[in-house]
Amino acid sequence: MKTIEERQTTWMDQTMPADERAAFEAELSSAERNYLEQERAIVADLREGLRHHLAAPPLEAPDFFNHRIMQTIREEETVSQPADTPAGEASESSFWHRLGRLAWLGAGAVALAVVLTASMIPRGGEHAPIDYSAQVIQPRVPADVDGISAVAFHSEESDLTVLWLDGLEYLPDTHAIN
Amino acid sequence: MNADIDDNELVARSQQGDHAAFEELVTRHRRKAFAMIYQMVRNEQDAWDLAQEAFIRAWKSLPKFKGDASFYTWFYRITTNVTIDWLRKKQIAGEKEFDDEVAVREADPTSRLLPKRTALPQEKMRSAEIGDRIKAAIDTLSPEHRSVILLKEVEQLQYNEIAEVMGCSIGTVMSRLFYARKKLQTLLRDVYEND
Repeated sequence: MKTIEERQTTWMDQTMPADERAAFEAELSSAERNYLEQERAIVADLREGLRHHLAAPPLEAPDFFNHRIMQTIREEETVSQPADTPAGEASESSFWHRLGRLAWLGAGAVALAVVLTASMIPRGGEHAPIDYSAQVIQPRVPADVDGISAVAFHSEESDLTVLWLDGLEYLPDTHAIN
Repeated sequence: MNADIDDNELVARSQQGDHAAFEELVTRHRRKAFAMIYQMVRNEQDAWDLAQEAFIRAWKSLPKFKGDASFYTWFYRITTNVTIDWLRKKQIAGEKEFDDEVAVREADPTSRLLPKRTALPQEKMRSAEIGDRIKAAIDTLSPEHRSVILLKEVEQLQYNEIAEVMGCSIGTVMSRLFYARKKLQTLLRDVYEND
């Protein structure tokens, strides 16, 4: 079933089929019929006003209008079909293509270098698991001796003690490890 | 190019890459495309640019044209879409507000069946003033309502042609036309009133 908007629009535009128009007009009171007749006249005046006042100016520079369209089409076809381009244009486009590819390769190499370096450099604060629990035994190094340090590592689990002496070429007989 | 060659033949040649054939289509339809867009956007430069864009989009869309509609209505659909998209972007950018609610509030079909106004006194108003009022009223319509009323009243397309151009049903065309007319009548109410 047609909406009232459809019925009124086709009636106003006088495009309503004859039998449908007769049925539609039969539903209207005389006041409603007069109202719609006035509405139809107003729409007709509005139509004249639209056609008169909205008339477009002439298209300026019509030949240039065509030229710009065809030029744009040719340019876009050239970009999308590089194999068909003349040699000069092809070498220029392949240069930029190579440059772009080179940039990607460079970026990839830098990224790989960063990953490798990061994985190989020991991080401060992180300690690889050690077999020995560090138990530093306070070294008793004579005060008059320079450049000697002693650090001891002991592992209860392994029942092992490692004494690390640094700066000594030999252990004097007068000194013993207690 | 021979003016006896119809649009379908030119389209077929254009689809084969014939630039000259497509340029002939441009020549044949540029005036109408420009006029239609101008009526929507009301600026010559914008209309010029949008008409360019419509033809370029038509060239790119030629592979999709199957010939089940005339080139005329197919191209006008592209033109309408290009224009409406542009108007919508302007609306999003805050440059324009469209309010079709005025039409909805004012155009209750069940309450507007009694005559309330008199004839338009165009003889009492300068033509330029009327033109300015009409243009301002058209500018308040949404792109869809503006398009349908211009296609019907100015371009004189039939309902089915408008439906094809706008990609909607004939019922939708009539509904939009009904409310667009009502809104224009509301906005131009004082133009109809006697002094």
